[in-house]
Parts: sequence; structure tokens; C-alpha cells
Amino acid sequence: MKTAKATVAKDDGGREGEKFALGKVYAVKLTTGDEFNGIVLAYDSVPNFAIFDILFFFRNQYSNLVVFFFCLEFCGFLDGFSDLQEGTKPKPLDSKTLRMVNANYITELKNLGRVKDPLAKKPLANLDELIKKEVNGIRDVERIGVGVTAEAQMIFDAITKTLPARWDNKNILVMREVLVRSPYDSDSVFGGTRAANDQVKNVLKHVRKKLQLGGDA
Amino acid sequence: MSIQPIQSETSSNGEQAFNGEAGSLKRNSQDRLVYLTTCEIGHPVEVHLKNGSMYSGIFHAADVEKDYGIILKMASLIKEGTLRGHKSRSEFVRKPPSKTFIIPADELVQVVAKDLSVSWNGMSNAVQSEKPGELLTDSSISQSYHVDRERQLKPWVPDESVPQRADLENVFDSPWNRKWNQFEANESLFGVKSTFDEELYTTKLERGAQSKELEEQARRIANEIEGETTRDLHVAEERGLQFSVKSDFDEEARYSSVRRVTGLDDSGLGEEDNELLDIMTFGSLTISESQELVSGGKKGCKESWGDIQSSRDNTNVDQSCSTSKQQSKDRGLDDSGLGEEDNVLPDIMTFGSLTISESLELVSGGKKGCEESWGDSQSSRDNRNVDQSCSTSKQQSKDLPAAGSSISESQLDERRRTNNDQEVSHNNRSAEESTSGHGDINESVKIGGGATSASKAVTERESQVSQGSGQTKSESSFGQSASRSSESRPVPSTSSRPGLSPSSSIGSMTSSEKSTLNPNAKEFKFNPKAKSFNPAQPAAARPQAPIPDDSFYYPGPNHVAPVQQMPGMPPVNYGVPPYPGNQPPMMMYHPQAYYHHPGGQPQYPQQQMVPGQQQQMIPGQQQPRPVYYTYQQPPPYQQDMQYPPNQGRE
Repeated sequence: MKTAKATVAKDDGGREGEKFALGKVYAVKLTTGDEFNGIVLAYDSVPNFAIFDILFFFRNQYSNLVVFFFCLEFCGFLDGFSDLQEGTKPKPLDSKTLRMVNANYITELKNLGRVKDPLAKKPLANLDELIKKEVNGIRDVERIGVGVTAEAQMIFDAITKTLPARWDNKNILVMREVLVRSPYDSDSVFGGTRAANDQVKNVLKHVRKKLQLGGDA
Repeated sequence: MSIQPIQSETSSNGEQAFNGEAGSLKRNSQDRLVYLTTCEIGHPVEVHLKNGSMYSGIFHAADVEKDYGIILKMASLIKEGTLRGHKSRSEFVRKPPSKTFIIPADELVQVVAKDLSVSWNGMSNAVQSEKPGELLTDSSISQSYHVDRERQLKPWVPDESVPQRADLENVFDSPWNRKWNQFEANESLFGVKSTFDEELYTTKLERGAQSKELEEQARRIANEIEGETTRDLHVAEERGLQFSVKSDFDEEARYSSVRRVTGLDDSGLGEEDNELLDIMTFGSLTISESQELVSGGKKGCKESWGDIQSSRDNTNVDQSCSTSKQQSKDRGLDDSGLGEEDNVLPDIMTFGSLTISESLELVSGGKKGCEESWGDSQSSRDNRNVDQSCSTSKQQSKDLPAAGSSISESQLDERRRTNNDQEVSHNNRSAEESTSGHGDINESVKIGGGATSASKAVTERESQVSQGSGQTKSESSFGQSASRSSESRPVPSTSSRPGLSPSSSIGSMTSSEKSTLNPNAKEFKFNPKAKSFNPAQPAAARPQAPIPDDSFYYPGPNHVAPVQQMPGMPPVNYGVPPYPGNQPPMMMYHPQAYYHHPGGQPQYPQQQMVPGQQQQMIPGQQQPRPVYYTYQQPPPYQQDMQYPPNQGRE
């Protein structure tokens, strides 16, 4: 192997391929302290990256494997992964949790066995759709206001259902011309044409009413 | 586009970096890596860095050629590497996310993508599931809180406690099989005596010695009818027949009650319908409708032509369109194509008997080419083309077929009118009939055409109908077109229908219930004292009497039809003006149409007051177009009825 990086868990290059053979199940530990179990789905020794299909075994689901739940040891990290409700066996193809790991930072690999390569067939990826997905994702992220109250976020979400709106720091900019400032009630609507302003006021009023926020002037 | 993993075009990725000594397995794995990386694009991921920091963002790209550095979009720091305590995300005050965030490979420890969809068939399921916006239902939008949208459905099982009611089990059986007799039950329970007699509602069955034979016969006939092939889409559906024609009918075509007239005419009135389809622009007007009326039910389509024709004209009523495009009055206004004609038609609508010329005019209005031909023959065209839908002023040359059957036509027209749907198709028919073929256009147009001409007109019309698409030929045949363009409208209504008996139209006209009447139009109040205005022929004034043939038929610009047209005929808004009274026949309508032409009709100097009326016509007004075509409405009438010259046309 060309890549002979001096990393922690790197064996000789020649065995990389075997080490990360598809389908192998490992309990992996990383330099960051993160640990997980996963099935090797892909690996490339050049960049030395591997992709694992993550599993957390809460109990032995594999008749011939005994898996320990290491994660408890790393509560700190677990908080961040609290929503990582990974299942007891590899998830179906449509809902996997993948980890693309820089193998350089793997401290420990514990072989847990082997399973049939889950991606036996060569699948296809539709780039166009992926791009769309990305655009949607970005749009969704943009909808989240930074440093705004939950109430403000709720108002924003509701407004955005019917009117185009985006965050402008802590203000909501609706239809590119009307600004709604904190505390986001009818008094805080500024700008825009008369009609637009009234429209936004109206929508805001309804939104608040529906959210039962009250306090609406 | 679907890509192979190996050729994944992740933005940063060029080609797979092949290791020189990579075995196929290795290569496979490498491909996999690229593929999975590609799958992650657009997915929200968490990135762990060497220093312990965690970033959350949307995976954008990875440098698969080199060392797999990655790029995130909208990344934000979740966890500081330097902080060792655990901070839950929510506590972390996030800074605005970075639009683009690059992470070099040596900093990157791992990238975690949750709930990623890795599909087999190239369709990224993740994409669909990631687009909740598109799948929102109303209820989910309106809810301010998250609710469970669906619940698990369980098949219904009857309560155990409810006793089975045997006598209701066979409720769908034939009456004589049922063990349950409601009448008896009512009588016993409530003392209600039923006076139901089945024979009140159905034919009395002769049960006797010959009942068996009769039954046989009945069954045979029934089977025969049911087994008939039909061109009508709906009937075919009912009978379970596979519709022979194309099967690309969508639900709307199959099950909607809105009849659309299309050139393809799949609604099955038959061939003739198709022709009329030109008229289709009428929203609801369907040729078929007219056709039906005409044919009296498909089978007899042709027969009823005569009648239908007249009715057709009515259809032109630009009912749907307030703007009487149809006002093809302005034949000259060709630009809108059928519009003009249609306008004419609508007005005529009420006039079943719109002269063929009228129709022709209408037709010609729309059809540029047609004009010539139409000239007069088509006056009856009834340019129903009423482009009701305004979109296509299909030459609804409904022209009330001047055909001799004008009377009948008028009858029909009246009927039609009521239907309002008389679409164009009818007109076309009528046109045809009235026009009696193109050859005889002038005849028809001239009102003098008579039945024969009507028939021709009809044919003409048919072609006209297709005019929408430019039936030049038909038009051409009809001198009308010329007239139309010119302003055929001016032709007083009288000109319509050469052969059509004005009277008939008149009578029938009364019905004029146009559904698409112009709501804004003022109701036409017939002024019996009004004298028809006839600049050149004072004698032309006619009282409500049956419209002389010649008066109705206004052939068109070229045709100097007897100008009996009702001067007063308010510009016929085809289809729009409410038919104030059963004003005489539509025939006049057409002439009115001509009226619409603001330009006045030089050709008919005296004929109709057209010239005079032209001026009167005030384009903008939606006057009800009373169908007083028969009358030579005196000028006062004119004032009354502003001839919205192009109202139909709108």
C-alpha cells in the first residue's frame, strides 16, 4: 500500500484490504473516544477511509456474536448522539446510519465477526435527486433562526407556510419587504407596501391566534 | 440522472482513484466508498474532528480522489472540541451556520449520517422522504402542533352482540326474493297503509299467456341495445365496453360532467360532433350537446340537423364568456379568430335560426380564410363559434342553418338556447344545414337558401367548425366570411337564414335561456313600437311579425341581404345577452353580429341599418341582445341596446 501513514491503528498496508473487508463487523474505537459497532460497507485505503453501517447491539442479536455495549462508557459523547437510536441489527437499506471514518484515527478494532455484505448489488445513485435533496436541506436549515426564541421560531414556521419569509438576524423578513421584529406581534410589523404590510399583519395575527400566543395587539 | 457509483460525480470527486494493485475486491470496496459518499450528499451529517469538535451540516462534497476532505454546507458548531463537558445541543448557542465549511481530511475523524437511504434502483428514496414540504396535507399544515396523521386501520368486524338480521341480508336481492317487505312492516308497526303501486312508475307488465314471449323479446332487445357499440365514452364505460379509440382519457374526460369539445371529439356524438368541436371553446357547450339536441340522441344526429342547426346557433352563445367573443360581429376583427364569429354566434344563440349568413359570418370572422367563402352562404353559420370560452372562437358557425327547417330549427334553437350548451357543434350543424353546403352558400346566406342551403351550410359549417383550425375551405365557400370580416355583423339579423323561417326562429327564440348570458347585460325590453331602422329601406321595418326570410338572412358583407335585420338588434352578444324576450329569432342575431362590426358595413348600405347601427354599437356595452332581429329596430332601439360590438369578442 502506498499509504503508510503512521497512524494509530494502521496495520501494514497489505492487510488493509482484508482488515476492512466488506461485511466485517467491528467494534471500533476512535481517537476521539467515540466507539461504535459497525459493519464495513466500504473502504479505500488511499484515503484510508471506511464506511461503517452502524449497529448498536443492546443484546446479542447475532447468534454467534457477543457484543458489548461500549457506548455507555462514553456518556459524554452519547449525549450528542442521543438521537442515534441505532437498532439491533443493520437497518434496512432505506434508513441506515453510516459513519464515514478516517481510519487513521481508529484506535482499536475489535473483530466481531462477519456478515454478508449488505450491499451486494451495485446500486445506483441519482445525482440530480441528491442535489435536490441538498437544496431542500439547505432551505430547511435556513429556516431555523439563530438565537431566537422557540416562540419566534414557531411563528416563523407558521408564517412561512403561506408567505415567503426568511430570517434576518432575529427578525423575520417576509416577502422581502416586510420586517417583523421581536416580539413578533402586530405592532412589530414594519416596512413594505401598505398592502403587504397589512397582509403580514393579518397573517401574523392569525398565526399568533392559532399558536395561542396571545399578546397580540 | 442515474450514475454508477464508480462514476459518481460528487462535486469534489473526479474519478475513482484506483490503486494500482487493487484487486477487484478492493476496487469494489473503493467504488462502494465513493458510492456511499455520494449517497450522503444533501444529507445532514455530523462531523467529528480531531480536536473533538463536532459540526453539523449538510454534506456537500468529498474529495474522493485524494484524501477525502469534505465540504459541508450550513455547518454549525455543535460541540467545541476544547470543552470536555457535555453540552447538549440545545444549550449551545449556535452562531449562524456557515454557508460552506471545509474540513480537511486530517482533521476529520468521522462523518456520521443518520437515516440515510441507500437505494438499489437509482431512485434515492431519501430524496422523497426529505421533502416533507411537498407532501404536506392540509391538515398537517393547519395543525399548529404535531398530530398523528394516520392511525392504524383495522378491518371492521361486526359487533358480536348485534344479532344477525337474516331478513336484511338479502337486501340487494330482487324484490321478489326478499323476505323483507317494508310496506308490511310499516303497516304493522305504524299502521300506515301504503298506496304504492309499482305500475305507476313503470310500464305495466303484461303477465299472461304471452308473458314469456314478451319477456324474451324484451330481453333480446335489451341485450341488443346493451351490446351495441357506441362511440360515446360514457356509455361505453357503463356498458363495460372497451373504448376503441385512444385510451388516453384522463379521469376528467371520463367522468366529469363537463363536456369538452375537442377536435378529437371523443365524447362521442359522432363524426359530426367532431366537426363541431371547433366550437369547443365553449366551456360547457359541447357540440355533443348540441348534437344531441340535434340528433335527438346521437342516433339521429343527422336527421335532426335541420333542427339542430338552428339550435346550434344558440350554442354559440358565448355563454361562458361574458365577453362575447363571439361577437364575431366584427368579422373584420379577425384577429381573434373565431372570436368574432363567436360573438356573432352567441347572439345568435337565441336565435336558433340565425341566418346562415350570420353563422357564416361568424365563422368567417374567425377563420381568416373562411371569410371569403362564407360570404353569405354561411350566414347561417351562426358563427356560433361563439368562442365562448373565448379561447377559440371556433367558428361556431352554428349558423342557424338557414335550412328550410329553420322553423324547426328555431324550435330547436330555442331548445338549444335553453341548454346554452348548444354549442357550437350545433351551430356547425346548423350552419351546415343552413348553409346547405358551401356551394350554395349564398343561398343559405341569403336567407333564401332554404333548407337545402341549410344543409349545405351545415356541411359548410361542419367544415367551418373545424375552422377553428382554419377551415378555410368552408369559409371560403361561404361568401360570408367576407362579409364577416367586413363586419358582417352589420347585417341585420334578418339576414340570417335565408331559408329559415324567421318565424320559427322567433318563436323558438323565446326560450333563450342562455346559461352563459351576460350577467351585466341589460335586459332587453322589447319595444313594440319601435320601428326598425332601415336607412335605406324604411319599409323593411317589421313588427314582430315573422321575419321575412330575407330579412333574417344576412349573408355577409358581400351579400346584400334583405336588410330586414333588425336594426334594433342589439349587437348580438352571442351568448351573452340575455334573451330578453322571445324575440324573434335568432336569425336576426346574426345580422346583429354584423352589427357588431363597428366598422359598419359598407356593403350593406341600406340593408341593415347596420351602417347606422354600427355607429350605435357601442362596443363596450353589454346589452342584452334582444333577439329582435326581426324587427327593424328603430334607432331608439339602438340606443338601448348598445351593441357591444365586440363584446362577444372579449
